[in-house]
Amino acid sequence: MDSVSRGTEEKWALPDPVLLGRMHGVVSSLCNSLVVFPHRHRLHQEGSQLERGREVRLYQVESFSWLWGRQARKLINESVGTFLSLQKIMQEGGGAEERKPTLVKKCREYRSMIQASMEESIIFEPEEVESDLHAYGQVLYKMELILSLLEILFIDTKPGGLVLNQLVVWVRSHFPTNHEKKSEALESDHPHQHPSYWEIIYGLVLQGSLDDVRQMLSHHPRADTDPFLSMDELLRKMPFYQVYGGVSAAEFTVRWQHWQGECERRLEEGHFATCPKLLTICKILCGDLDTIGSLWDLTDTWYHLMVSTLLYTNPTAKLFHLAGAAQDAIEHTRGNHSAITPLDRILLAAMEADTHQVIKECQQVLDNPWFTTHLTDLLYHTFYQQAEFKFLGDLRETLILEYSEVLSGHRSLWQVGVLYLDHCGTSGVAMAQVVLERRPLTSDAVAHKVVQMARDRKFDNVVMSVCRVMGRRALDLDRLGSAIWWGVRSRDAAFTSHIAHKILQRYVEDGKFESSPLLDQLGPAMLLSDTLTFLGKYREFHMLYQDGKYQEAATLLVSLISSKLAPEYFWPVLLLDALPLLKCPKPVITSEQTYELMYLLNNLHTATTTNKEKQNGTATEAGQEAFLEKERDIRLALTNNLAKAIIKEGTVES
Amino acid sequence: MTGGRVSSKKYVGSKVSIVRWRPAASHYTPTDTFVSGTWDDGENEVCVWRVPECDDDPNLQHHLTHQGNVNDIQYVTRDTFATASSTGSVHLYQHNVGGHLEHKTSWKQIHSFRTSHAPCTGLTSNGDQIASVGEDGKLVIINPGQERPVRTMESVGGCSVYTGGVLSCISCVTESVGGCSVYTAVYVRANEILTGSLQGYLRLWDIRAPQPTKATLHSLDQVGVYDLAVHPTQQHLVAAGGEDGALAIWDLRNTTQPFTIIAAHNGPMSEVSFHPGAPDHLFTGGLDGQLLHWDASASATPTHSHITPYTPTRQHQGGSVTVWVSSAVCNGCVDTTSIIPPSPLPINSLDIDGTTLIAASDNEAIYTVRQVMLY
Repeated sequence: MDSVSRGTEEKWALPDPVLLGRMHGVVSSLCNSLVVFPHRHRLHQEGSQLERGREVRLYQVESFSWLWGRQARKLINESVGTFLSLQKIMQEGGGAEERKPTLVKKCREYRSMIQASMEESIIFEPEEVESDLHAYGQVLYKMELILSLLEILFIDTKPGGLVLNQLVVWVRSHFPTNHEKKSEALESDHPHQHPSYWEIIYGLVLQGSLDDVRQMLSHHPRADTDPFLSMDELLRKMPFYQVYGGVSAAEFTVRWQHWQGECERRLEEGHFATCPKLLTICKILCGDLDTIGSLWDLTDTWYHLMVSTLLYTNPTAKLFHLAGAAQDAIEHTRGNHSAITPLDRILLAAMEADTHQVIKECQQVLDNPWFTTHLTDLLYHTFYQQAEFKFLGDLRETLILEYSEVLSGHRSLWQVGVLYLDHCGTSGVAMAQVVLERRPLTSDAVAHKVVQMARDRKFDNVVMSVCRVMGRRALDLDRLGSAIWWGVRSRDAAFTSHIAHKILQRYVEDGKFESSPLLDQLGPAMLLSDTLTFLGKYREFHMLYQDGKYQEAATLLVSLISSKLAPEYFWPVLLLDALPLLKCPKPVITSEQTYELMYLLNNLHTATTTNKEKQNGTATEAGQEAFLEKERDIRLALTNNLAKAIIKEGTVES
Repeated sequence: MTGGRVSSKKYVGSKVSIVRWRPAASHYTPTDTFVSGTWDDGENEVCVWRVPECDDDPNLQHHLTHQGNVNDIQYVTRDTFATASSTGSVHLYQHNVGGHLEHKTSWKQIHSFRTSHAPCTGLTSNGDQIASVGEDGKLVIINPGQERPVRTMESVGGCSVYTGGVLSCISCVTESVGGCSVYTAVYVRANEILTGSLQGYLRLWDIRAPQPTKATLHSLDQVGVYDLAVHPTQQHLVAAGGEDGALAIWDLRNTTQPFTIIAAHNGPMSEVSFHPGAPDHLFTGGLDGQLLHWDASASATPTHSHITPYTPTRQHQGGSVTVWVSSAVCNGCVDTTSIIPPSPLPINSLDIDGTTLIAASDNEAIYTVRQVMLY
């Protein structure tokens, strides 16, 4: 396996001799990329001589899809809006009758997106490689063709299930050449001298545009002769079935048979004997299969031929008629066309009402999950709660998952991917968490966006992990202020304690606080961890002291000391902080509190001296030395204060 | 309310982080050109767009690749604008005749961490100098004519140094970079800059003074400040868009607490902007995909509330009395309307000129909203 095949059968090799003809490891990431590297074991075994001095490289292999082009990205971003609003409406419930208009509307929205994209791809980006653009346009055209057929057959179904009218419109809009040529011919001075005058007319007849045919015929110099007038009458009188026209299907059939009978009568009576061209038209009107078949090159494709045939043989065709008619049409065209294209197979499957096959074929042929995903979603909602379409639910989830996986792998479209993941069940939720968690946090802005998305979805663990990563990174950069902010956001007690320790240690070292305003305003976040509580309270003590509230400051300090919240390395600092308070002319520390301080001092003294005996060369040793020097001062101050306090307390009592 | 409003959405094929109207040539002709910047893409771009007079979508005039994400764009003069890059650099671009852009100069990596570059997050200009802030917590003053930044102020983020006033025994005063990300900066007056940071501090700087901090304002609960906007005529009034989606109105004459806080968005706010000509109206965009129009004109005193058609040529009379510090606003009595149907992805930026508003989103779309109702 020394080459990686793409979605197509195309193969290519990594241009690296180290990899050549050798086993190598593959790590597949979350999304559509692989990392390929030489296998270490093998490299050592056989490559000792050959590869020495050669670089061993990792290759990241990514699949490239037309979805990443500028044009397709517009499609991706526009369709997500439609997708989401469709899901929302469907979740709100409602009966099948209420759902249908929405589904039709959304299906048309998708189609108009594809069409807009098609138009833009023609107008803009002339610098793009011709063949690429052409291929892209082809894909769009096919998608639109398939989607509009499915809309007719499954989504926008009419009462009675008669599909032909819509199919005729479908054929007309996808084979507009006849109409274009007609306008071209009519613009000239003598339309009937147009080289393909009659071909245009046949084409229009086959598409059922009879008014256009009459318009064309009226430009013929013999337009007021009998055959022409007779034909005009036939064309004018051809009945078209209107779903809401107030005519029942049975009544329509009667009328239609009457009209066709009239056509046949005129044919037999030789109305058109003088004009073989009109004779052909009349034969088409009579539904003469051989005539229609002989004109098949005007119809380009079998499905056009099928629609034209049905139009004049079975105008009340229903969905289940289509499969047979399609087979016939394919049979007929096979002589001319050698092979059935993948597109034909999709359309055929659609006419056979085999949705599963349609989705399967689309997935294989169209080289993009965009279309299959949205199509399956539409069909899923259309056949919602119908037993025989149960498979659509699971299929839809899988396809959405696949599509969002592709999107999530894109460096810029990951947000769109997450939006889709909201709609594919539990696996989607799990996937969304992984996608958000693994997003490289290149800046605060990205972090905030990831956090916001995670918070909206209540992925608390993701929020926590992102905040933790950001905090950790800030810590590495020595930005303690940011670190503690993120730490508090992550609600991670251990991590915030760690940062709080860092801040305290730095304070011990050089006597200053990082990001004091944050610490002063911690509020309830302070309770996250003991160390943070201590830090916050300690800052409060500073504030009180600065404001001259010595009494409160002293009480707070002593309670900090006695609560044992303070880490051991911070005790000396606390005692030193007490020094100016002890030296206050009016005693602010009570005798009770003084005892506490003395107890702490004693503990500290023992600890320091034992440490010294152990000869432990720690970083704080210098600090301890300094402390021991100050110890005398503190002891003296404590004693003085105790004396003053006892006197004061005694006085008050008496 | 929505009667005359026409909004359109143009998909541009890359996530747009910022949009800015080019200043109008004169008071009499509204501007029809704006610039946009993209982010989070393999190759980011700065683009110039022209908005046609009819209701069509804007047309792309020209685009240039930009190194790193475009985090902010700020016009210095009518023809030149600066961009803030995620690589920590500031670039200066110029509009040339024929709608083309030209890259004039760069100040490379003026924001950096100890080991790597720090994204530059915001720019502001007083028409003469450019001030840039970054995630490293620095405020850098740039003179467009000079190669080197004029002045750099560190620890703008409020992670300032506390010099242990109480403690005589352990004391040491050195300058250190605490480094909280600063997200936004805005010129309040010619020489005064207000910065807003991750931790929710607003700091007022007087860049002439040797000790430049003038005041520090704290938002409640360390709610990060993502964007600041100064009232166009009453420069002591500042609107701050926060992480919690609430709009805080600050009166800089009283820095102890915000005048009022009104919650609106369901996620962090990305941009706040007063209407330059009718400052009773304010617009905000948020990460929740909403674009809101805040209309405080109803709280104006009766003399100002009569219907007057908006004309950009005339000084708006609301400039003399500000409704934003009225008691009604204080009670949260402001009309907020959503201008566009909420986008599923964040609205990153917006800008308004005259009656046309433009907004950019992560949905790779640029919104153009015409006839935004102003009265």
